Amino acid sequence: MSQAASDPEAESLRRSKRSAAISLVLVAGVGATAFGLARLDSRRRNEDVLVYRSRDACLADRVRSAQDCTDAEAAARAAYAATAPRYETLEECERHHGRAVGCVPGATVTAAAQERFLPVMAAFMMGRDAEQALPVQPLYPHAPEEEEQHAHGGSSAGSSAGYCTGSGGRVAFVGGGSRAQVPTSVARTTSTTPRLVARGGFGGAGRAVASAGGHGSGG
Amino acid sequence: MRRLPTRERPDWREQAGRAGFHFHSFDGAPYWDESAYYAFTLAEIEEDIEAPSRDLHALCLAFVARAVEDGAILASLAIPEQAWDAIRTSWRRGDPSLYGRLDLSYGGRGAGPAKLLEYNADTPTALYESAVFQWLWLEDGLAAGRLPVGTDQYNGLHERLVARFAEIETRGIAFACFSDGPEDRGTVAYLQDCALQAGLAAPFLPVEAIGLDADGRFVDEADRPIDTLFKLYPWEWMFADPFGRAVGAAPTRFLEPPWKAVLSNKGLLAHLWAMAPGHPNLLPAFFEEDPAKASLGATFVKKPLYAREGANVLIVRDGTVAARGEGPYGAEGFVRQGFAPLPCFDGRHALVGSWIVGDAPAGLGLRESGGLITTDRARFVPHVIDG
Repeated sequence: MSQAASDPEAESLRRSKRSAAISLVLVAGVGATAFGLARLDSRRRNEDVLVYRSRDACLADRVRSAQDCTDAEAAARAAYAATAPRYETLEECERHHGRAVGCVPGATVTAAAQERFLPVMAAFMMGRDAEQALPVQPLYPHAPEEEEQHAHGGSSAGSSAGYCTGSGGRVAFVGGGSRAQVPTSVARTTSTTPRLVARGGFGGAGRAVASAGGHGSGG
Repeated sequence: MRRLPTRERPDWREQAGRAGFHFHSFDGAPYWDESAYYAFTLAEIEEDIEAPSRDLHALCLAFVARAVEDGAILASLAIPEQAWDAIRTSWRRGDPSLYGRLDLSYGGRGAGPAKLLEYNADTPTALYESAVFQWLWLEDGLAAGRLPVGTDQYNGLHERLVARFAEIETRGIAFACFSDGPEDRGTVAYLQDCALQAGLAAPFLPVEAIGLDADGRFVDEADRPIDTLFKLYPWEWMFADPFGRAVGAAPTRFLEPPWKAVLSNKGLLAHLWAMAPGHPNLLPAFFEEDPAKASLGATFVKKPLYAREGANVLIVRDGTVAARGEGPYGAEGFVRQGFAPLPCFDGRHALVGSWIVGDAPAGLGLRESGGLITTDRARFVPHVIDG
């Protein structure tokens, strides 16, 4: 929706005190529920990557050498134990990674993750060829709640919502083939320390005031 | 300044729906009220509202510069000590602000200068209806001939908001509020719209979904770091929440910035009066602990340092309670301010909301109440400039 102020002749008699035109791209028509629109950054560059659920899948694909496949899986497993995101509760973990593949108690993966919950390593990601010099990364199902609601079936673990890396980058990967494109920033950013994301640390004070008879956040 | 009854557009609710104005009614009663409008002269707008608003905002910035360097001032505002660094850093770094609303008691030429009642500098609402729906009402009236040719409105809000977003250096802004409050959500959706038009990515996330990662970065629902976070959630609650302590060290920038906490606080009123005693647009104001409050005599307004929508405000006139707002606020203390009754037109009390975008005055929104205290039951009434 877009409108311009009327009466340009009359307006020119004196400097107007109001906006000359108002356009609404988000609020109008579709209503205030339309949110989450993010503009794609055209400057972002992509890397060609391969995504495999196992060394065997890598071998069968015959894109990288057998040695590369073996090395990549080993590197991913090592990185998994050291850098998988840690969550304080199972619920918190499943909220991000879904229930299809799920999360496990940290102690079953590494002693360093006791009393935490880790997503299962669902796949690993490597470059399409060695010359890209991309680091091998473990991948986790990416299934934040709101996306999971839209995912159909859910039998193919995380395939509808894709994967994410340990540092939170998205790998939009449609099940079937192994080839995917990811932003360079995601392909080259590896986590060296486990990511522990806490949530719910904002909002409590406001809810408490509201339940005591206060009003909204605005004034 | 006059109040002029007029005919409602029969289809204004449908128009509101099409324009995304979904909170035009509250508990079955209209919040948007176009059965009347206020008419100002250009001199009233420019000399009595716009210029004083510019001046008051500048005075407020001068106060922030002083407050951030003075622990005694920050303590007087009941700002917790662990928040002081975040406030100081955001000010010294020059973190930009987006908007605010000065609430003024003003009754037109002849009724004396506008008086500052408070500064909603952190989480003001009534923005969308001021910027857009009021503007559409005017344009409709001009097009239909209900308003005379040349009728104007003090309302550059939309253009100024889009321009301000374009000035803010960021890769994108995540917008947060409670997602179950239609008015808050509507205000935030409008600001997202303005940010999009300024070329920014502008996703929404519920305030409870904000995450904090192990590197001390605030992250969105997909765990991506948030470059800039707009929050329609006041700083005093942010600081009281568990994540409040992480604000100072986080690379995330905020709208409004933490230094706005110094202004969105009724203690500001006492400090401004101490800085500029006798200022024509200020009312005398004192902290409740200050013996000088006695100079106000038996007629004054007592306001909690933190409160919204008139909650816990007490008006005492000639030693008797004239009005009292209910609510849960007041634990942090009170100020006592001189009483400047809102002007009464046709039995309605009008409050002038004077908008600031960036550091410049940008427009006007009026709300009417039956009582002396403007509450969340107030109605938004449009205005024009016609002389």
